[in-house]
Amino acid sequence: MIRLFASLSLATVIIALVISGCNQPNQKPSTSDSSKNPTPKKPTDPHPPGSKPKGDVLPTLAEISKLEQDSEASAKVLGNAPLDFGWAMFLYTNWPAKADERGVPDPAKKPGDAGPVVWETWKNVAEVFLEKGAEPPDWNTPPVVPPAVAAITPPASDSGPMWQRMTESIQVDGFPTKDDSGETTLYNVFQNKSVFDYIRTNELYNVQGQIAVAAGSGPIPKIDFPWTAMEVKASWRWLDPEKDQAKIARYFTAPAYWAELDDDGNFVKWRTGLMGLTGLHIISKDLPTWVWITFEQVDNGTWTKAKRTNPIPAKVQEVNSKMQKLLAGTKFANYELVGVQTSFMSNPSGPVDGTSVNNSDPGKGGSLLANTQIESAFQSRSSCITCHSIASIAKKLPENPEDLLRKSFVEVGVTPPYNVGESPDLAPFVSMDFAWSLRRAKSKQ
Amino acid sequence: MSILSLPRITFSGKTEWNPDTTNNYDTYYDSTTAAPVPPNATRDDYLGTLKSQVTDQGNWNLYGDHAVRFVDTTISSIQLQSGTVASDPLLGKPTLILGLVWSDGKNPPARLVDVDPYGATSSQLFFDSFQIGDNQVGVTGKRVDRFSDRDFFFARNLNLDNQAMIAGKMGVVWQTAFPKDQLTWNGLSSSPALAALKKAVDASDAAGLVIRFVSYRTQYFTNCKFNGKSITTFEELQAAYEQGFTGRNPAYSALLGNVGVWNNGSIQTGPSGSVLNPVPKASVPIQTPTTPAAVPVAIPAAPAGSKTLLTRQQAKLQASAAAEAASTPTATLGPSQFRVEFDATGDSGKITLDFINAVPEVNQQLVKADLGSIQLQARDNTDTAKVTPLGDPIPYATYNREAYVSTGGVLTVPFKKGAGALKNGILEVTAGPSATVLLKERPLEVVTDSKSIYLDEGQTTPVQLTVQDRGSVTTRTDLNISIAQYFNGSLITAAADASFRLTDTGGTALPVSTGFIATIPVVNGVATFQVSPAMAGTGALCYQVHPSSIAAVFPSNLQVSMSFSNIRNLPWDDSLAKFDQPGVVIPWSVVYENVLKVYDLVYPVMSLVIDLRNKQAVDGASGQFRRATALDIFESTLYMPITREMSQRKRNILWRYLQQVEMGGGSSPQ
Repeated sequence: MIRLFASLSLATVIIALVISGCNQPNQKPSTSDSSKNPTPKKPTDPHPPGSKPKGDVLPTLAEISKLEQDSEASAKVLGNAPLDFGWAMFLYTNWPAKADERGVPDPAKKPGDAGPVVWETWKNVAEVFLEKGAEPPDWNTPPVVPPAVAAITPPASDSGPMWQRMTESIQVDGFPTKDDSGETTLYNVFQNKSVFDYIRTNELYNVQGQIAVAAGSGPIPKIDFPWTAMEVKASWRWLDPEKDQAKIARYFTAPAYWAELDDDGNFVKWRTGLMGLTGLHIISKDLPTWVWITFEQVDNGTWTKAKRTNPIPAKVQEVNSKMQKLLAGTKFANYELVGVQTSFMSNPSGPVDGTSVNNSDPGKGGSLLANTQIESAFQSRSSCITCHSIASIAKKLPENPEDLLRKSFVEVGVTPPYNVGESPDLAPFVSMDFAWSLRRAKSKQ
Repeated sequence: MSILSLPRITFSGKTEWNPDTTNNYDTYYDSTTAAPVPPNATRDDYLGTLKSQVTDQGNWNLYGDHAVRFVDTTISSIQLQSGTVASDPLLGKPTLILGLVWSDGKNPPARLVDVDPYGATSSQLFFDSFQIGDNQVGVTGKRVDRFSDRDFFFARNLNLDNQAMIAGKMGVVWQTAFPKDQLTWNGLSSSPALAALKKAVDASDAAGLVIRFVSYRTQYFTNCKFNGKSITTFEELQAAYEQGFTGRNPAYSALLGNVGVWNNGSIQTGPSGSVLNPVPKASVPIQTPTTPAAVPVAIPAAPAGSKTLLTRQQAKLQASAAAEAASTPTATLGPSQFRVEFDATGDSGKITLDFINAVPEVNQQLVKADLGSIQLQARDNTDTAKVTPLGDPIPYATYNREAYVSTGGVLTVPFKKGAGALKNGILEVTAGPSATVLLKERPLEVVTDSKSIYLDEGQTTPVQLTVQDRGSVTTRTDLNISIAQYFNGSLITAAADASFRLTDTGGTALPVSTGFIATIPVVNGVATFQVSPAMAGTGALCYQVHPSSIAAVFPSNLQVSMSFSNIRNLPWDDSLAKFDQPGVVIPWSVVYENVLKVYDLVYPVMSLVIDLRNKQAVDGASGQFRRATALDIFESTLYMPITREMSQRKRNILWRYLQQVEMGGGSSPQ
């Protein structure tokens, strides 16, 4: 077997610890509710466990998977080598997926091999939160591609012929961002089986189901995803297969479609084409407050309009450099970790080993993490963990104009107006366990 | 203590103004309905019309965002009890007026908003903090109330050589105050001057800091570029707009301001001392015009019927240019204040004059008009022909440009005799060969912090008026305040035409006398009433204080020397009531046409940020729209609309629509 992050002795020890932990009984996560949702986040690796890592080479799928099969060990790694954890999650989610099973990495492939990657085969939120709050079909139901799109031959891509649906053109601050061609960057969000099953089982796929839980009349006492929960949010740019050959050579690409609407919101047509991955948020509930990881394509500063406000810390760049060398020859060598956020507040004595955050707010000491493609215009006050801690729902449907369905994540006393640092009080709203993706749920009425 | 006392910090520099100007025109914007004119115009047609009429209408900033910034503004002098400070870390440090904004950026701007978009005397500066100095040494005040304008001096900028593209001849004073608990001090140990200010602020008779500044010599076309080329004329501007220019065309004013101690009992926005009002039509020759008359720049013709500030000023420029060509240039003094300190014994004392907006400039280089020596005198209250000179004449060197900047426009005039005369009379300021009285004291003054009011249908708000007698709250018991209503600058004389309903604090209608004048008594120096709207539209309430035995007489047209509150009664929007109901589905078209369209058309810079015509764009920013329009942040620069004309009915329609968006599944912040 080969070694994970061989140049980092601490990581080596941790991997060894995790591997040995995997052989112990009672290794199910202590922080999850997985007994109700017995869905492993990562499948058991067919490769034999326990091999000692050696050499400056990429980790195997088995090693990455094992890192996530014991919640306590995982948390320990996060505490000591969060950057290694971030890259491990990147490799895992971008591992080529099995052709016949959603969300399962193909052990016969390696990073950079052709075909859709794991997260692309998770559930796009468009498949989860349906019109009138209808129940989504089960995990293995394939995504429905509009006939007009399906009739088109997909452009050649790294991801293969599977069409990706883009669901958003506007960032959470209400503003769009553009690439160097003037095209608006698009987004989609995916949930792994653990998240999807939890939502489906507990009727969190509609507003009324969420309110029922908040009001104490739902099937669960509170929203608390299993520790195996993961989501990604991807940002994409359009690429012209003829004019953009130089860019296509450096982006991870996929065929994509997007509903073009007129000013009044009426459907006009499906736009189809080739898109390149500019950014990727990965979140994982390996900690009770989740782990917040973000990656970007390294040419974003040149090839998109969004510029970085907070520089990537030197320690993160160091790790990136090593990993990019290990990924040489693949498109993923053109991606870089921006940071891993594991706490609300910065370490007052400075970054710990591995730098758990990519910057700090000198005024409040809150930790920051921003992706230039996803939080373009408010990077100076972008804290994933703080904002997501506000994810919430009211205990009843709004009646009057001033009633809110969810607590606002806009904090009006600062500029830009977003929270950094400790989570604000949510009352009278009820937490949705950091999952803003639940905000996409529609009303049954 | 006050601005007219020490310690006092002076700052100077420039103010950048970037207002949208389309709402200045009743041909483009209806301030009663807060709708574009015509209301059914499409965006393309409306903007096409605006762009094609820039030259004709003088509409100089179609894409303004109402931003206000201080530019190159630094602390220029410090005066303590011990004298002028020659060296202190605070000197040269920046002074900033700051807002909050919705995205990253340095020095986010404040916002200039007119209560009456057609008018020139109803401006306010919404801001969030005011920074004197920096994080190392200085003090920052967190906003409690917006800056309000006062002391309008329409003849401040004479532009005798016609070398400046003057946006308006007016000089205007802005003021607000900060309570002690809203101040953050930095570097007190390194700055004796700052420490002295802090000590004065900490005194038991002090409430905090007061800040006021004057804007004057406002110029157009000094920082506007399109495709790398400077735009310097209306013709170039129109051509640029028609070629797709959507950038800024800010105007710049000269700026001088003071920081002083805010006294307990003083209002935040009012004058610090006794008021000196300009005598109508009084002027004196300028003794030595500094710059010989140059070839005048072309002044665009004023379109007939236009109501914009620019075109009014154009007309005045034309008139004054013609007058100046035919005669010796003359000048007068602008509204001022003073504070008098009588010595404990004898007939002597000291007068501190607030001349920050008093002496006009003659040209673009800000050379002060030389009115010769200025003399103070007391005019006896009984024998009005009897005058007593106070102090030595004030020579030009004491009020020229250099002195103005170094003193912050505040002059001190000691006098050895005349204290008795002044106690029994009023102060006057004279100049010129005939000792023309240019300023005359108005001992009794009505002041209020309720200078700018927005009223929704059915809303009632209290207004407190304070009567100052020579700068202090009056102790007289024989005074009343009369209140007159003005609409479009004209006096309302009949109840049927009333814009406002006035009641006492118990809700009983105030009695009105002939001419529709309401009167309330002054008790302990204060009079309080309530106002609610009688109809949509913008008007003013003017106040006169007088002995209860005398009836007030109001002029038929509003005079800027009067004390007044500007009030905008927001649209009533009865036609939208059917949508403002629980369970009613609100179509996007209703939201756009009735709520958002006016901002999309009249303030098109907004749609450059978030396309208000596009449902997807609005839905995607639903959380921000919701928060930005909440009344609890009305004073913040984050509030939308910046121009603050959204009625509660329209807000309800927008919010109900956004609830629908939320219930339909908004975008995820992940």
